[in-house]
Amino acid sequence: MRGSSRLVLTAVSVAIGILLAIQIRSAGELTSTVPDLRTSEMRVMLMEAMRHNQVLQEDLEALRQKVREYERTVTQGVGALGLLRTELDRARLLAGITPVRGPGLVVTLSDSKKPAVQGDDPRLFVIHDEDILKLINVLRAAGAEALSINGERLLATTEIHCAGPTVSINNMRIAPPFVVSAIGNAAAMESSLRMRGGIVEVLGYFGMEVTITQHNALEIQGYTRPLRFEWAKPIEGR
Amino acid sequence: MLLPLFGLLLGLTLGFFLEFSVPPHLAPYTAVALLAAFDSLLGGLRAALEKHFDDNIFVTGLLSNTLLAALLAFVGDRIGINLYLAALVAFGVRIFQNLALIRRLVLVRSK
Repeated sequence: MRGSSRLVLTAVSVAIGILLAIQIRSAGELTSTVPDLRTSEMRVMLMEAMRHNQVLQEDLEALRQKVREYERTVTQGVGALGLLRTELDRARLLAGITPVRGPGLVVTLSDSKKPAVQGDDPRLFVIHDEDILKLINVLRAAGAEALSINGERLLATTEIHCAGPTVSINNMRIAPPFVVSAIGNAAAMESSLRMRGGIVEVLGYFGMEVTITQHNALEIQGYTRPLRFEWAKPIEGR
Repeated sequence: MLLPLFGLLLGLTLGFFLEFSVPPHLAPYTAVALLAAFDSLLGGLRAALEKHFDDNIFVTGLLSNTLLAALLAFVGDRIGINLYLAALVAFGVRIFQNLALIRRLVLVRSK
């Protein structure tokens, strides 16, 4: 081997060695550490947040219990305070923060299980926020007094809004199947749902699965998270 | 013959201590380019042992192989087929051929 060739080959060898080492290190980082670390980190954060949430929820429940206790002791007896208490209970019932029981319906909506046909718009075969809105509207028209969707109590401020593959209700993401509970006149509500050209028929046309069951003593949970009114303030003296 | 080998080891140790890494989205290109460079290196060694090594041919070959391999990988990515496989197979085969020839030449010489 001549001198110059030896020199060139050695120099190139060193360069390739450096590059190879960098490549090996980069590839190692790429495949193993980065995404794993990220996901496990996120998982820990999520668990932490959920635990925190749980604790706060329990605190809230305890505080509520205390408030109820105070009310009971303060308003014991009759007269003006007793009246005030009945008024308060009525307001709570209207606001939807008390759990309620009564006769009613449970309506379950599931996405279509029809096999997809080429050329059909797949959006026609899933439950949309608008379908739920229509259903809720029909139930209310038939006299539903308390409503919940997958355990989320419907309030005056509740939104039923499309959120990607899910539906946002009370700012919670709800995924199908949607279980709508309604307390009211069960027979009236069921017949307005099953009306000719009504919502059950329309949804059934697209293969959506709608089941309706009547219950004698249906329970609907109250809304448990804090209610905040940031913008609307009551006008004094009215 | 041994000097380039030591060079490679030196480079490897240097590389591991260097605070530099390839951006993840460029890693496939540099990997193919590296393979091409390695093939050129073995080709150069073989030529040196066969005593027709030429600096210019070696350096231009090294650069063009490396760039072409990276370019192939890049174009393949753009048009959606794994073109880098072509470079991978071609250089892989040549690396083994060169290695076999080098082994033979070294063995013959040491006899």
